[in-house]
Amino acid sequence: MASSPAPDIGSARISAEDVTVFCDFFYKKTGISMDASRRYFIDRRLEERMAANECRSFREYLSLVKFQPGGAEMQALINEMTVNETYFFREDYQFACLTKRMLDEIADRKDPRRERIRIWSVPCSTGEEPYSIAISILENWPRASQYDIEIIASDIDTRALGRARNGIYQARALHRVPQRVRDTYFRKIDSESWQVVQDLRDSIDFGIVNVSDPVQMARMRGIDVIFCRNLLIYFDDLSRRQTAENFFDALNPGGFVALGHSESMSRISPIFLPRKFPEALVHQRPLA
Amino acid sequence: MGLMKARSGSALPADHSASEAPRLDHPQPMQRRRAVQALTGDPDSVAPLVELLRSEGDNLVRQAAFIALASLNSERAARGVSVLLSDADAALRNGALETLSAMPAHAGALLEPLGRDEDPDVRIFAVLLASELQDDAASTWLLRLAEHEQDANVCSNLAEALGGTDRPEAVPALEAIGRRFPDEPFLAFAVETAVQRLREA
Ligand SMILES: C[S@@+](CC[C@H](N)C(=O)[O-])C[C@H]1O[C@@H](n2cnc3c(N)ncnc32)[C@H](O)[C@@H]1O
Repeated sequence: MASSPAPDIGSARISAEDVTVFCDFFYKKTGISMDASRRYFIDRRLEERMAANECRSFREYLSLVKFQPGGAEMQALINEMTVNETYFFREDYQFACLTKRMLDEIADRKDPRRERIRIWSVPCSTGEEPYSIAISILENWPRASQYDIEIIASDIDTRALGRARNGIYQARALHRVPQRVRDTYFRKIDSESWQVVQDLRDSIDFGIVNVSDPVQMARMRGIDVIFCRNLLIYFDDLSRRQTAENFFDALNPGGFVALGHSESMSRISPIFLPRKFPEALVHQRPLA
Repeated sequence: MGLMKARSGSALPADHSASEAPRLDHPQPMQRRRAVQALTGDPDSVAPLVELLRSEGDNLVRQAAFIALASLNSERAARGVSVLLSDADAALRNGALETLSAMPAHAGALLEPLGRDEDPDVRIFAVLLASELQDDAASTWLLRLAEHEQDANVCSNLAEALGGTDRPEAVPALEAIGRRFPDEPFLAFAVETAVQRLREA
């Protein structure tokens, strides 16, 4: 008997209704709003995860995701669904704004003997953004050695965070990094890859944070600058507004938020003051 | 170097006000905002939040209250918020509209009663809401209202809203609006633009 190819039951197992149920659930967990237009992407990821867990139906898989103690499958699913695209010195005019304007304003209000400056890169994806911030400060902010500066870097995706902590990048990922900077802050590990030097890796506090989780967000306080770039594009209006509120609470009065260039705070929430610096438009929590 | 590892899990600057129980009538806005946030997710918070919004002057507190209502995403919340569409304060009306648009599943059912409101301003907000909702039921409702609406300002909003739908069958109702108000040149223009958009779509 001629063997016929295995029937493609994959897509048949996930119905349009399943996708709606899934999108609703995923939105509530993460704030990420996916719609049927991304059906192909969603189906593919779900099928892979269902196969990896030997689930026969979507229902079976969904209850695994919801009720598994420890939440490992929920995490695996999040890691699959997120878009981690990022690169070194992306939208670097904002880092220029940080070292030329924002940090001075913040530093002028602090006593360097007692108070730290705290910067939060969220989402940090695979680390390029927080490392770029750190390097920009060390290279371009003349007062860096007078202050204690903390960089906190968070993401919902644990796999991306693992790569961020390792700090190993392919040579082509460093194309925007000037050679001198590369030779100072990276060390070549083989012909293909470079690793961020240990001191710099150790100075950044990488950790998991879901910005849509109120409990996790309530722990973030006393921040002076938040870089939140290319996250809110995946959210709907309500999650964007909630995130803006949470950032407001996380910031010290006078603290700043920088968003990605396609994200506009004026369309999200009126609670921040727009601050137009020559390098960039950022958003400030009012001082009083 | 100036970079320091953050003290993971270390105590953050203490928020002294946090020990006080939050109250919606606290004299300080930040405390009222905390009280609003503490109500998030509570289905019984609709009435107190709507009442707060009626008298609240602080924008930050208002925003938090609208977000708390939107995140309830319930019929009760939608009905509660819709009452604010007739408030004298334009910012409050706009906030209510935005909040209702964030609850499309429950806001749609309100179009019918809002469309019967005596106050033309409320009917205008209902029209704006319907065009935010962008679904079939909402555009059907717009069509029906266009057939009998007698207020010129509501009609001009209707023309704009219908022009943005994909319902060419709205053309006769639009043209009837033009005939109903022969002395309003701005309406003739609004109708003409809408008809053109529908024909081009
Ligand atoms: C496109 S990357 C942006 C990285 C960097 N900020 C940049 O602009 O290059 C988006 C990241 O958002 C993360 N993400 C998505 N939802 C999140 C959430 N609810 N909380 C925290 N991070 C989230 C994803 O894991 C992904 O790494």
